[in-house]
Amino acid sequence: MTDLLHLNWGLLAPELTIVIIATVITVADLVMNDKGDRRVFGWISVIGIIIAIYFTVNQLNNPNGVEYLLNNTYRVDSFGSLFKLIFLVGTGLVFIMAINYIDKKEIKYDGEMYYLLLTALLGAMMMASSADLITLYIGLELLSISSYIMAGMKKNNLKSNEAAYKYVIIGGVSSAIFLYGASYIYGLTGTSNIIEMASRLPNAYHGDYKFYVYLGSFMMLVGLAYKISVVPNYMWAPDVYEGAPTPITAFLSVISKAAGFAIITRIFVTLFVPLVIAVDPKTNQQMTFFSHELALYLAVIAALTMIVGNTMALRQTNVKRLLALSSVAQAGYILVPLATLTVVSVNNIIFYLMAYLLMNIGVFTVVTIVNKDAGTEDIRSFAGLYHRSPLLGVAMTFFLMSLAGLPITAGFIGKFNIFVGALIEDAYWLAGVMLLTSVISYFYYFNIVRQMYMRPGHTEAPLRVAYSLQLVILLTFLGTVLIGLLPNVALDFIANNLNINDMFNLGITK
Amino acid sequence: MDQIYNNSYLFMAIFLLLGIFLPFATIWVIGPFLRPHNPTKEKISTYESGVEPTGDAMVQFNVRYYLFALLFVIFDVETVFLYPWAVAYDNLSSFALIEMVIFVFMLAVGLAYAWKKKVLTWD
Amino acid sequence: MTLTGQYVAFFLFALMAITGGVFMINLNKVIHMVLSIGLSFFGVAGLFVILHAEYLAFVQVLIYAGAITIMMAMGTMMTHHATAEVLPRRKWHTFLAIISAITIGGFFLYGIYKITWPSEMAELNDNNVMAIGEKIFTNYVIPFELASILLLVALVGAIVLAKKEGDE
Repeated sequence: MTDLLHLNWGLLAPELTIVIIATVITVADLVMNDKGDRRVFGWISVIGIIIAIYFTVNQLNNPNGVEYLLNNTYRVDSFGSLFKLIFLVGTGLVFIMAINYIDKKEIKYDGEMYYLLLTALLGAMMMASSADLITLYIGLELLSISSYIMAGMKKNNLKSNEAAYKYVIIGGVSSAIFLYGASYIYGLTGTSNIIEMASRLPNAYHGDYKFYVYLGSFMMLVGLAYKISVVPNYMWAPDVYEGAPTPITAFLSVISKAAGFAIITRIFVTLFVPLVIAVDPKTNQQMTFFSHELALYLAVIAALTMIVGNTMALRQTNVKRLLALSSVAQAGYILVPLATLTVVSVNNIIFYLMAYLLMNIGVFTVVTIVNKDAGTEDIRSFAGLYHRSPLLGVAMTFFLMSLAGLPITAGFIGKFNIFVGALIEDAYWLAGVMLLTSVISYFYYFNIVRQMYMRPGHTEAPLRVAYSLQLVILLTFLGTVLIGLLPNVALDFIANNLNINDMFNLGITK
Repeated sequence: MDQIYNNSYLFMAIFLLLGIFLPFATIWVIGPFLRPHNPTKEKISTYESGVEPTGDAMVQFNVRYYLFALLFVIFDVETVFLYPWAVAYDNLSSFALIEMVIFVFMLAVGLAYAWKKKVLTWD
Repeated sequence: MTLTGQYVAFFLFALMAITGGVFMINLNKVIHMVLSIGLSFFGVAGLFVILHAEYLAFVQVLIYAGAITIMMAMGTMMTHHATAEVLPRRKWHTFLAIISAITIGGFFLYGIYKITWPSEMAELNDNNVMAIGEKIFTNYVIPFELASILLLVALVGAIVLAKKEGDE
C-alpha cells in the first residue's frame, strides 16, 4: 500500500486554494453579524481565484508532463490545466459581477452565494482534472448541486423558484442516464479509470458486447448533454437562465458549459476515439468507433442544436431568454469540432471557449447593468443605450458581433477555425448548417444593437457604472478585440501548452 | 462456503417470516379465542379516553419537520462512510484518521450552519 | 432452470421492486406513493443481498428505505393537499409515453437477451465492507473528501431553499 502521507499533495494546489477559501468564508459567514456587509467575501474569493490561477499557470509549464495522484483519480495534464484557466478566469469575472449585483433585499442569503460559487468552481475544476469516472462524476454533481441552489437564490421570485425546480429535475434525470450508461462501460471493463477502460474496451467490443458499448456511450452522451444544453436536453436553458440571478446565468452559460465540454471531450477522446472496431480490408486502414459511429450522431446533434437554438432565439423578447437560446446555439458550434475530429479539434474547442468566455461574460455584465437600471429584462431596456453611455454601447456591439461571428472579433476567429475544420473533414452539410444558422443569428443579435442605437430610450440620463464592472467590461472588451486582431497569440498559447497525447498517457506519480 | 451462505440467509428469512406472522397470529388467530368480546359505545370509539379526532388526518405540517428530515439524510450518509472506515481502520495507515477528521469537520461546519440559521431550535 | 431458494428470493424481491415502482406512478394519494417507493427500495436491497453485496443492501435500507422515504413523507406533509389529486390526463401524452416506454424497454430487453454472459462467477471478497473501506480510504480519497464538500453544499442548499422566510 502506498503511503498516502508522502504523495505529492502539492499537485492539488489550485483546488486546495479554492477549498480553503470556501471553508474560511463559510465559517466567517457564520461568525459574522447578520447585518454585516458580505461583499468582502467576494473580494477574498477573487484574491483566492487569482492565487489559484497562479498555481495553474505554474502547472501548465510543468516539465514532468502528466502527473497524477492515487490511480489517476486526480491528474494534472495540459488539457485539464487549460480548462481550469477558463473556469478560474470566468468565475473571477462572475464574482465581480455578483458583488455588484447582489441586493440584500432580493437575495437574503448573500454570503452563501459566494461560497456556493466557489464550490461550483471546485466541481468544474475536478471535472477537468481527473481521469477517473468516480471523481469526474462527483465533480459534476458538486457543480450541478451548487448551480441548482444558486438558480433558486431569489426566493421571493416565482421565476427563480421555477428555475431551481426545473434545473434540479432535469439535472437529476440526466445524471441518472449518465450513470446508467457509465455502469455498462464499467461493467464491461471492470475499472473506473478511463485510461485503463480505454485499453480494455476493445476486448469487450470484439468479444460480443458491442451492444453495451453502443448503449453505454450513447447514454453517457445524452446524460452529459444537459450540462452543455444541446438538443435532447436543452429545454431547461431558457427558463433557468431567465429565473436565475444574472451573474449566475453568466456562470451557467460560460463555466458550467465549459466544464460540460471538458468532461465530454475527456471521456470521448480518451475512451472512444482510440477504439478500433475493424480494419478496412481494401485500404488496410483502421476504422474507429468514434469516427464511424459516434461522429455522425454528434454531427446531427450539433446541427439540430444550431438550428433550434438560433430559430427559437428569434422570437424572444426577454433578453436573458434570448441569450439562453443563443448559448444553446453556441454549444452547437462548439460540438462541431468534436463531431469532425482532427488533430486540432481540441485546440479549436478550447480557443472557442476562451473567446466565448470573454464575449459572453461581457454581454452578461452589460445586461446586469442595463436590467438593474431599467428594472426589467425586456429587450427594450436596451433602447437608447448608446446615447446614455456610448462606451457601454460600443462594447456591447462588439460583444454581440463576436457572438454572431463577425470579423475583427474573437468569435469570428473561433468560428472560422471550426468551420475550416468541418470543411477539412468533408462535413460540408454541417459547415453549411453552421453558416446558415449564423446568418439567422444576425437577426436577433442586431435586434439588440438596433435598440441601442436607433430606438429612443425612456430617459437620456447617463448611466453610472461601478468601477469594478467597468474593469470587467474593459478586460472582456480588450480580450475580444485583441484576440480578434491578433488571433495567433491565443492560438500559439494553446498550441504550445496543449499536448493532446496527455489525455491517453497514464502519467507519472511521485 | 456457499452452503453456509445460503443457510444463514435461510435462517434470516425464517425469522423475518416469523416476525411478520406472529403479530397477525396473535391478533386474528389466537386473540379471538382468548379475549372477551363485549363492545360498548366507548370501546369502539377511536380513543377510548381522549378527544374524538375531527377533520382530515392529512394536515399541513410545519416546514421544520422537513428540514430535520433533510439533516437526517445528510448525517445518514456520513454514517454510511463511517462504517467501512471503522471496519477497515486496522488495515489503513494513520492518514485515514486525517481523512475522516477532514470529512467530519466539513459536516460539523454544516451542523454549525444549521444551528446558526436556527434550524435546530423550534421557535 | 431449477427452483432454488435463490431463484425464489430473486423472484420475490424483483416483484417487490417492480410493483413498488408501478404503484408509485399509478397511485393518486401522495402518501401511498411514498410507501410504495419504500417497498421498491426494500426490493432493491434484497436484490443486492442476492448479489452478495451486503454493504450496498445495508446502504440501500439505511439511506433510501430509511432516510429518503422519511424525507419524502415529511415533504408530502408539508404541502397542502386536502384531496387526492387527480391530474387530467391527456390521451395523446399517455399514448406517446406508452409507445416510447415500450420501445426503450424492448430495446434494452432485446440487447440483454441477445448476449450470452460468462457463467463463471468472479472471486468475491468475503468481507466486502472491509474491501470497500480499504478502497475508499486509499485509492478514492479525493472523491471521498469531495463528497464531504458535496454534502455540506447540499445541507446549505436545503436550508437556503426550504427555510421559511421571515420567521426569525
